[in-house]
Amino acid sequence: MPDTPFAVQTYNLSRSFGGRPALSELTLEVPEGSFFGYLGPNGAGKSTTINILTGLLAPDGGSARVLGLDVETQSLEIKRRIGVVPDGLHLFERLTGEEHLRFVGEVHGLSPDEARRRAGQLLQAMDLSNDAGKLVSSYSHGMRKKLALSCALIHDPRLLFLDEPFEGVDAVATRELRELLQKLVATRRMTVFLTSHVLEVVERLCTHVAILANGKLAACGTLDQLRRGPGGEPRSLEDLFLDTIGATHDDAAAGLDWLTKDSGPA
Amino acid sequence: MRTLRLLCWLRWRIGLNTTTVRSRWATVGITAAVALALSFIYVPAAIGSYALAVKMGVAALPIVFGLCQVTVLWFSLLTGAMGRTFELDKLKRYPLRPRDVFAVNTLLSLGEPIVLMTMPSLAAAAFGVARHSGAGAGLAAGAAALLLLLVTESLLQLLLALIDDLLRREWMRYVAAFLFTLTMLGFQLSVRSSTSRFAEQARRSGFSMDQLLERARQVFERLPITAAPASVGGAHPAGWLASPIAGLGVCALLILVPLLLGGRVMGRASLRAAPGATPRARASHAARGSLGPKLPGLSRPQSVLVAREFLYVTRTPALLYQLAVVTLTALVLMVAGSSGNKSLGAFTPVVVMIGTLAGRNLMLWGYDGPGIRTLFLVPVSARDLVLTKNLAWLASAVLEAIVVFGVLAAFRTRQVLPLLAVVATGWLALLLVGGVLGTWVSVRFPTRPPERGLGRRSPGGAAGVSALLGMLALAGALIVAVLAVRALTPVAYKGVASLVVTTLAAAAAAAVWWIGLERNADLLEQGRERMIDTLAKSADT
Repeated sequence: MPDTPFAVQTYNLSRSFGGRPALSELTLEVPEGSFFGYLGPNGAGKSTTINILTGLLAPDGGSARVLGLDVETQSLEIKRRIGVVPDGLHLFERLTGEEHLRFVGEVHGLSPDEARRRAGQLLQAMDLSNDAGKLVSSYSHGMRKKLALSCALIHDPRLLFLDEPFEGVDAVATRELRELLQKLVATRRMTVFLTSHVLEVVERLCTHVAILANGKLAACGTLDQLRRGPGGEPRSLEDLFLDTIGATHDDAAAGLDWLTKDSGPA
Repeated sequence: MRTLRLLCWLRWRIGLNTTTVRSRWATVGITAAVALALSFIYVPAAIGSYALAVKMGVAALPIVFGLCQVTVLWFSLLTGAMGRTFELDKLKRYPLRPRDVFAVNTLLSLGEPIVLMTMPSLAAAAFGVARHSGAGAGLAAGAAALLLLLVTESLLQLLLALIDDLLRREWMRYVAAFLFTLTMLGFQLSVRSSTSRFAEQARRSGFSMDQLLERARQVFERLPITAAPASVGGAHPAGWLASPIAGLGVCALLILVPLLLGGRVMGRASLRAAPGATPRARASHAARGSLGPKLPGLSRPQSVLVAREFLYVTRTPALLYQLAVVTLTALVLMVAGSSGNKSLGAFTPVVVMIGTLAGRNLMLWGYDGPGIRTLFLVPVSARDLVLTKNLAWLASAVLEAIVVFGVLAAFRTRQVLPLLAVVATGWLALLLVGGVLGTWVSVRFPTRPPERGLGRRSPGGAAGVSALLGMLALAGALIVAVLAVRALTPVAYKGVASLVVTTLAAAAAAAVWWIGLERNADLLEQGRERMIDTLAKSADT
C-alpha cells in the first residue's frame, strides 16, 4: 500500500450538477491521524466531497486519493479501508440491527464468527443490545445514527467519513460517541473526516479544519492556526466560520412585519 | 374548488418536475399507441351502443350504463385497485380535509384510462338517444352518463379507501390482497363458466339477441347504482326509480354518502402507522453461524449478498406475494384449464410465468430502498452486485417453475411429460434473457415501489412495457422456431428436434446473460448516482 502522510489528498477536484458547480477545483490535504473538521454552510459541497471520496460520485474533473489510493480506479480497495456514516442514514430497513452489522462485517471479509462477535460488542457499546433483534425500520433517528456508526467501525477502518454524525443524537449519546471517536484517533491513529454544523463539537474534537464556501476551499489548517485572526488575536470558531464564508449579519426578520409585529397582550 | 385547484397544480408540477421533455413525448407516443391498439375494443363498443340507442331509445341506457359500469369497476379493482391519485399520508400535515382529498381523487379518477375507454360508448348512446327521441332526450342521456361515471367512481374510491385501510396492517394487507386476487380469479372463472353455460342454454332454447338484451336490461334496472343514473336520463326503469326525480335523489345519495364515508375512512387510515415501521422483535436466528451458507462457486462476500437477498424476500411481503401470486395464478389456470387431450393446452400456466419474467425483475433494486447506498459503500464490485441480484432472482423464478412444472407433471402427466423438457428449456432461455433485460431496466430506470399497498407503479415506465413486449416477442419467436423445425423434421425426430432448438436457445441465452453481467455492471457503475437519487432520496409521490 502506498505510504503517505495524508489520509486524503485532492487536487482541483470538481463536480457540478445540471451545470451548477457544487465543488470547484478543491485542493485539500488531510493529515493521517488527524481529526479533520470539514465545515461549510448548507449547499457548500461537503456531502458532495464525501460522496466523491467514498466512491459514490464520480468527479467531473481533478483527482483525489484516499489513503494513497486513487478514488476513480481503486474505489474497491478504498471501501475496504474506510468507514462511512453517510448523510441521510441509508440503511436496509428490513434487516435487524444485528443482521445489518453482521452483513456489513461479512461483506468486508470478516469471518462469520468474528462479524458476530464484533457486532455484539458494538451493539453493546452503542447501547443497542436490547434492540438488536428489531428491524431497522423501527429504529429512531438516534438509534440509526449509532447503528450506522457501528457499521462504519465493524471492519476496523483506517479512515472514518462522518457526515453530520451527531445530528439528531441525544446529548448522552453524543458525549459517548465523541469520547469513542477521540479514543480511536488517539490510540489507533485513525483519521476522522467529519462534517458538522455544530461548531462547538468541531471546536472540541478537531485538530484540523477546512471551511468550504460555494464549492471552494475558503480556509484550511490546524484549528489553532485558523483561530488566530489577521492581527494574531484569538477568535472563536464561530467567528472564524462567519468571517470566512463572508456571512453578513442581516436581520432575518426584516421584511417579515406581518410575522413579527406585536399583536398585543395575549 | 380551491383545494381541487391546488392539488391539481401540485400533481401537474410534480409531473413536470420529475420528467424530461423527452420522456413526456415518449409518454404521449405510448399513450397514443396504446389508445390506437385498444381501439378494437372501444370503437365497436361505441358503434354497438349507438345502434342500440337508435333502435331502443332511452330503454337502451340501462344496458349501456350497466355494461360500462361493470367494466370500470371490474377492471379497476382487478388491475389498479391499490393506486390513487393522492395519498392523504403525504398531505395530512397540511390543513386539508380528508373529504376534499377524497373528492379530488374521485374527480381525477374520471381521467383513468378505463373510464376514458367507456366514454365513447356513453357519448354514442347519448347521440343515439338524440337521434331516436330528439336533442333534449340526448342531452339528458349525456348528463345521466356523467352522473353514472361520478356514481361509479365515488363507490370505487370508497371501496379503495376501505381496502387501503384494511391493508395498512402489515401482514393483513397481503393476506387480504391474496384473498382479493383469489376472489378476482374465482370471479373470472365463475363468469367464464356461467357465461358458457348461459350461452349454451341460450343456444338450446333459441334465444335471440333481443331477448338477451331484454334480459340484461332487466338485470341492470334492478341495480340502483345503474338504474338511478339511467332514470335521470329518462329511461323510466321499472320500480321505484321510474321517476327522474327519484333517480336524481338516489344519485345524489350515491355520490354524497361515499364522499362523507370515504373521507372519514381515508382520514382514519392515514393516522395508522406506516406498515413498514411496525417494530417487531425477532428471535435472533443470526446468533448462530453466518447470515447464509457459503455457496459453491461464490466468494464469502458474494454468498452474504445472496443471503441478504433471500432474507429481504422473506421480510418483504410484497416480494413474497409476487412469488406466490404467480404460482397460484398458474395453478388456478391449470385447474380451470381445458382437460382436453391437446398437450400444449396443458402448458397454458407457463404463459403466466413468461409474462412475469419481465415484471418482478424490472425493479431488482427497488425493494432495497435507502439500503442501496449501503450496497454501493461496501467493498464489492458492481459485477458482484449484478451477479448476486440476478442469482437471487433466478433462484426465486426457478423455485416458481419447479412448483408449477412439478404440479403440471403430477396432475397432467400424460399431456405434460412428453413436452416437459422442451417447454422447460424454452422457459429457461426466456428466463435468462429476462434477467438481462430486467437488470438493464432496473439500473437504467430505477423505480421505488410504493411504501403502502401493493402499488401499481409500472416499473421502468415505457422501457418496462417494451421489456414485457420484448419478452413476449422472444417467446413468440422461439415458438415459431420450434414449430418451423418440427415442420421440417420427420415425425420420429420431431421431439428431439424441438428439444435441440430450445436447448440451443437456452445455451445462447446463458451466454447472453453472462456477457450481460459485465455490460449491466458497467451500467450500474455509471448509474449509481441516479439509483441513489431515486431509491434512497426521492419521496414516494
